[in-house]
Amino acid sequence: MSAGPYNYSYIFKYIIIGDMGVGKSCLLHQFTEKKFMSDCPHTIGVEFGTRIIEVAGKKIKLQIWDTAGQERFRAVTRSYYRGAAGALMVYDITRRSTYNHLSSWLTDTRNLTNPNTVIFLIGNKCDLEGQRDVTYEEAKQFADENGLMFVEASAKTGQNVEEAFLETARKIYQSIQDGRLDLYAADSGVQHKPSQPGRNTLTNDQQSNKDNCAC
Amino acid sequence: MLQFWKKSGFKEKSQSSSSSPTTSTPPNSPSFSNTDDKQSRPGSFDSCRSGPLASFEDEGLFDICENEIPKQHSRLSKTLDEVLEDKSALGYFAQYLESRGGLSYIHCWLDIEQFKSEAQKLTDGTKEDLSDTRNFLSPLPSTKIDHDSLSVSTDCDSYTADSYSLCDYSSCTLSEIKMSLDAKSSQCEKVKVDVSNSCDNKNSNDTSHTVNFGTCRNEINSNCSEDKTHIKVDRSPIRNKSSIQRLTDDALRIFKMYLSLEATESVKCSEELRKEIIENICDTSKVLKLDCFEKVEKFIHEILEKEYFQAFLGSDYFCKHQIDVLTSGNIVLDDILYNETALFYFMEFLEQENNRSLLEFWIAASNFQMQLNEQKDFFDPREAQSDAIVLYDKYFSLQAHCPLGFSDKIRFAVEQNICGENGIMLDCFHLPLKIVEQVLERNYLKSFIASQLFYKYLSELINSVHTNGNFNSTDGNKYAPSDCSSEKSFSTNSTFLAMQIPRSNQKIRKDKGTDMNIDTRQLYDPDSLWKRKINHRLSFGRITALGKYETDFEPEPDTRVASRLKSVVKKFMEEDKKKEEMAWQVAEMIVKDITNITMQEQKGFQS
Repeated sequence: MSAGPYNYSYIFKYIIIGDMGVGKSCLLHQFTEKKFMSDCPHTIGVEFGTRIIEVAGKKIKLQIWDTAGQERFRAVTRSYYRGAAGALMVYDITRRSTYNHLSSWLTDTRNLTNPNTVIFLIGNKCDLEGQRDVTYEEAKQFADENGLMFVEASAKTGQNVEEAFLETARKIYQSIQDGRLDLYAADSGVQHKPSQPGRNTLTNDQQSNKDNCAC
Repeated sequence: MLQFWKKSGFKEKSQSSSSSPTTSTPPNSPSFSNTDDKQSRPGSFDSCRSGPLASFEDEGLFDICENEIPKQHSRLSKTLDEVLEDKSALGYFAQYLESRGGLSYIHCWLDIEQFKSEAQKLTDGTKEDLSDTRNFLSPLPSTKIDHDSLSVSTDCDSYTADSYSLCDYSSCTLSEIKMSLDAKSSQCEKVKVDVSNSCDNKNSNDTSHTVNFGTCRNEINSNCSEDKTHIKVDRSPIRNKSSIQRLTDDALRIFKMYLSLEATESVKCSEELRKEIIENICDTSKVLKLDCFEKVEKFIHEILEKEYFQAFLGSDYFCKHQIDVLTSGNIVLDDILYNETALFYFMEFLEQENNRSLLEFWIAASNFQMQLNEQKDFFDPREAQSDAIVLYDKYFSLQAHCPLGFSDKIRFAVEQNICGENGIMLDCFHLPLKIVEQVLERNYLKSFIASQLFYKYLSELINSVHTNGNFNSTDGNKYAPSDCSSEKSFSTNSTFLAMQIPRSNQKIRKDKGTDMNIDTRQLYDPDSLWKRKINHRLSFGRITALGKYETDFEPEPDTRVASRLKSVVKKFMEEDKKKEEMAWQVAEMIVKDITNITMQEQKGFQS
């Protein structure tokens, strides 16, 4: 039994939403595998990724639900919004239509998640400066008006990808500390996993067991 | 898009070439076993399979799957219609509506449902007499209906028979639901009268009802004495007339209570709707057609759906319902898969079991299936096929990025469904979905329900209810005194409280139990029982490797061994307060000594 899967204090549930082709799955892949997936097929329904990070000395496991951006999957993926502690809303800075649809994605998020859900706006593909179609200032203003955190990132170069996921987790953790995010609400998207007192005994017993097996 | 067709063609060629050498035959008897990635079957082409389903045998599943009826529904996630049909959930929904001042909506809904069920029976039994009935009744304004209801012409036997015929299980059940819901309602008195009217065989201590009953009896007696000569001739139409009259009375009562301008439990419908209902009530044929309140039902349904139901799903009352389902001991896989919160915990559990890809595939394929079902006749075949090929490439193909270990038979069937002669089939992943569901149910559902994650999920639901539990108890205490005048209401309230308290205690015990060291040790170290025996043997004696028993208090002639054991035991006893680790170290030393001596003896014996 490896200690890895159990070595964390909290589990946060994230959802990644946005139009098709903006790079949601590539962002997830860059964050979980630390590399760019150039040949990325479109997502069917929902895909899944996990990673353990550290916030304020606590190990936190992120359970990330990557949703399909096609309109035909939208009704299906709405069922996975409930219980998300963090929502990453992604648009493509080289395609204005993906930015124009953010209001619709934001409405869905507000209606289907907890009021305390942290929403992070990500403008992906910032490495394609020559094809920029949405300015940073305009998106920043949209984020400020709606109370969202905002950053421009690139799944290809990895720029700001780590920051987006980590800042969301820090914000969620802060909500827990302030008491705004109810740790004991089953739909909060957060699981508290206190350390178990029997852990040390288990380790010692294993060693003793090995020695006894040598008889 | 051409790329996909070319890709498919290439794969078909490669599949045909690779499948021709395959001549292995599957085993005759199907066997379901736990998945083991390392297990391999020698001499079989399938030995190259890898993934969580590599050792899963799918013989016989082709027949099983066809007979299954898909539910795709979780008792933890409910639509409004499902709540209205589920008595347990309906109880919590009514409590929630009461807390928000919307109790009249559910009352009106239940009354209309009961009215429809009673009218249905009369309609079935009086179709032939409908034309005759019209001769005895004429349309009357609502004010005159009041007068007629007080001077109804009937005889005692007919009245009693009709009352009993209406008092069946269904009506009583509906009434009981209302009774339990109304335990805290200020309208308790009126509702009791209604219940007594529809279930005449029940006794009631209410004095006002006694007075009314006396009045009715006097009316009946006087009418009997006056119309004796006419009763026999007109018996049949009179019975129908009285039944229809009662329906009209019920309809009028519903109108007065919920729809009229002076209604005590007004649902605040529009003026147009009210006028239409008045017309329907005055027309006997419409009353019998069951649809006189149809628009009111739609109106109430819309209000419940828009203003109350979504908030109910996030309320403590719905949490209580979920706790009831989760602690019923009858959890099935659909309850977990179709509720997103339970799915969140189940996904984490499978992650810990290193079989997350099973659930990932199920989610992706079922979402694919759901969106096709939603589109129905408007789906794009090429688009659907490209979606299916994405899933196939990821989970089924020989170069799969995330192989599940399906057999070649399943893979060929899926290929045929996706790229067959008739194009893509809408249920192309139905068979692998059923296989995955069976594997999840047989291999993982029970251990998930017994896992720490599940208890954490359950304890979080319980904690969220407990934070407001005191408030509910206070409310209960407040209502109790006002209900003391009625034994029925008081006993119902007491029963409700009695059912709640022991359950909470049990849950608290469960919650505490998961934190106790003993339970934790037992969960992770099943060998702890026999290890305690070492302490026991250390105290009194031991059995040597040769099977001979030696006590520490009477050493054998072999002074060397005895002296060592004596000294070690003395040290151990002197250090009773030392930590457990020291004890284990001592045990190791003893075992090593015995092992060394035994080895020496064996060498001596051989030489």
